[in-house]
Amino acid sequence: MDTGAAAPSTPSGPPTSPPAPARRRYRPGSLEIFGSILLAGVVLREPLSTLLRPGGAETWLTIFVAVNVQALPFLVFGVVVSGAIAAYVPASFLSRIVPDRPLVAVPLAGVCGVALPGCECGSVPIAGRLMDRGVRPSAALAFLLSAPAINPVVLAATAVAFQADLRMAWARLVAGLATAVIVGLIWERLGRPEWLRPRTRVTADRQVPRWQAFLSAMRADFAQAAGFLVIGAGSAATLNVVVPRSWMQHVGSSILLSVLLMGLLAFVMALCSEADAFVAASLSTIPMVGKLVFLTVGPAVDVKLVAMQAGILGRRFAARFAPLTFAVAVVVGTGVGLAFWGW
Amino acid sequence: MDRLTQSVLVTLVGGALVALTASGRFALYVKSGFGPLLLAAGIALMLVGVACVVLAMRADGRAQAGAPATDQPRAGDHSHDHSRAAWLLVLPVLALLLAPPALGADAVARTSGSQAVADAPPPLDPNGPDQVVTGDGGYKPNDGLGSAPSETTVDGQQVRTMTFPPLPTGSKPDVPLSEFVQRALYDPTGSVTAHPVTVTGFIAPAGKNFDDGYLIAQLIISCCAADARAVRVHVDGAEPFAAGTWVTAVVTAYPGSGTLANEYVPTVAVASITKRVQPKDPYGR
Repeated sequence: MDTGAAAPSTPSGPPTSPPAPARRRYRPGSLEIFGSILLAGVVLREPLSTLLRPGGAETWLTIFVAVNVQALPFLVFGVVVSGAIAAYVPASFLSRIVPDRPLVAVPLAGVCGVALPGCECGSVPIAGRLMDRGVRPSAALAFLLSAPAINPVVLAATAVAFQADLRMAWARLVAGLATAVIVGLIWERLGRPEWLRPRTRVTADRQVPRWQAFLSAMRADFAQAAGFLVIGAGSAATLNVVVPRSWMQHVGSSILLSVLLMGLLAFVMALCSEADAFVAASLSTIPMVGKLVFLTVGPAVDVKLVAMQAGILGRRFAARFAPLTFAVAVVVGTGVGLAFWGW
Repeated sequence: MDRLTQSVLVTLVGGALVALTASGRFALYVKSGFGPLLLAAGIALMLVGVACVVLAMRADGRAQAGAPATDQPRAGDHSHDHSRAAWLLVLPVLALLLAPPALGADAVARTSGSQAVADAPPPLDPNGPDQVVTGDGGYKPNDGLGSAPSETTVDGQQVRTMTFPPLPTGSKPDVPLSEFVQRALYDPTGSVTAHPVTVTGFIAPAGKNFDDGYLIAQLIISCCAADARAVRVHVDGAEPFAAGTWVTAVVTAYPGSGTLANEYVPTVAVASITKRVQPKDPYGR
C-alpha cells in the first residue's frame, strides 16, 4: 500500500482544464466511493454486529476505537496550531527568530517544546509545517521530540502518578529534553534533506484569504495525520490483545533486562504521553530506571508515531529516524535514571 | 481522496465525536473526564469540515464555470491534498457503527496482574516463600486512600499495612472494588474481613490462578481502554450468572486469602448477589 500523499498528477477531483462535457465517461469520484462505503456500513450494521462475540476480536475493536477517540482531541489541537503556522506565520518571520547556528537553534527548539500542551500525535503535523516554513529540520525534529515529553500537562500527570517520588517528573524532564536535543544534533550532522518527503513549498498567501488557507491547511493536515493515526491505533490494539500484560511481571528487577524490555514495551504499547506515567507507575516489579526508560521512549517513538512520521515526513525518513531515536532514548533514559536513583 | 470528500469526512468524524460524547457512550472507551475535550474537538472538526465543504463546492463551481485560473495551487493545498491516507479514517467511523461494548470478561484475563500495591513490597504471604520484590518505591496509589504501606506486627507476624479512612457508615456500605481489594490485602483493622460491604463488578471466569469458582472483576483505566488493568476478587462455587453479567454483591473477605501464588486476589464470602445494569461509566478508578 502506498502510505502517502503521492500521485499528485492524477487528480480525481475537479478537472484543471474544462473537458469536453459531452464525451466524458462516468467515473465514480471519491465522494461517490466514500458514500457507498458508508451506506454499506449502515445497511450491513445489524448482520455485522451479530458477528461481534465476547472474545479477542471484540476486545480488539474496543481498544482500536478507544485509542482513536482518545487521540483525536490532541490531534485536533495539533492541526489548529499547524494550520495557523501554515496560514499566518510568514517564512521570513521564522527564519528571523530561529537562530542560524544549529548549536543554538536545536536546544532552543527543544526547550520551546515546553510551551505546547499536547501529546505526540499533534506534534507531527506541526513539525512538518515548521519545515515547510523553512525551519532547519534538526530544530523542527528537536521540537517534535520534546513537545510531547516535557510539556506541563505531561509533567503534572507524571507527578500525580508518582506522588511518593517526585524525582520522576524531574528525571523525565531532563531525559526527554536531552533525547530531543541529542537526536536533533545528530540529525544536523548526519541527516540528509533528500530523506525527507519533498514538500511542495507553500509560497502562496496570494489570491486566497488567509482564513481560507487556514481552513484548508487544517483540513488537509487532519485528514492525513488521522489516517496514519488509524494505522497506529490498529497496531497498538493488536499488540495489546496479543501480548498478555502478565509477562512483564516475570522480568524481575534486573536493570539491564528491564531497560530493554521497557523500551520495547513503550514502542509497542503506543500509549498517549499523558497516560503512560500511570501505566509505568502500576508496573510493580520494574525498577525506577526501567520506568524512566519507558517514559522517555514512549513519547519519542512508538508504532503509532512511526506510522504518522512515515506518512507525513516520508518513509525513508522514518526508517532512519525511528531507530536513531529509540537508541538515543534508551541510552539517555538509562543514564539519567542511574544518575537519579543509582545502580 | 479529493478535497470535497476530505471535507465531508472531517465533518462526519466531528459529528461522530459529538454524538459519542452527547450520548455518554464515550465512557465505554475513554476516561469520563475526557468529555469536554471530545466535545470541543468534535465541534471544531464539524465547523472546519462544513466551512471546507462550502469552499470546495465554490471552487468546483468556479472550475466548472470555466474559470480555471482561480483554482490554481492555493495556500494550504500541497502534496497531501489528494492523500490516500485519509481513506483510513473511514475505519474508526465504521467501527463506531458497530458500537463495540466496554471491555469485559475477556479483557480481565488479558490484563490481569499482581494486585499487590505497585512498588510496595507485597503483603507477606504466611504460606508462601518470603518473596520480597526489590526496586525502590515511588508509587503511591493514586486514589486518595491513605498513606503508603508500612510494616506492622499483628499476632506476632510481620505484615505490610496501609492506613485507611473508616468505612462509610451504614450496614453493608458501598465500596469501590479497587478499594475493597486494597483493604482486604493491607488493612490491619480488618475493615472488610470483619464487616460485609457491597461491591459492584462483573462476573469473569476464575482464570489460571484458581481451580474453581469465579471472579467478580472491574477494569481500571487511567486514560483509555488501551491501558486497562483488572481488579478482581475470587468467589468459591459455581457462577450464578454468565460471564460478563454485571452484579452487586454483599461480600466479606477471608483474611490472608490473597497470596503471591494467586496474584494477591482475595477470596470472599458472598452473602447475596444480584444482577444489575452496566454502570454508565463501567471503568473504576
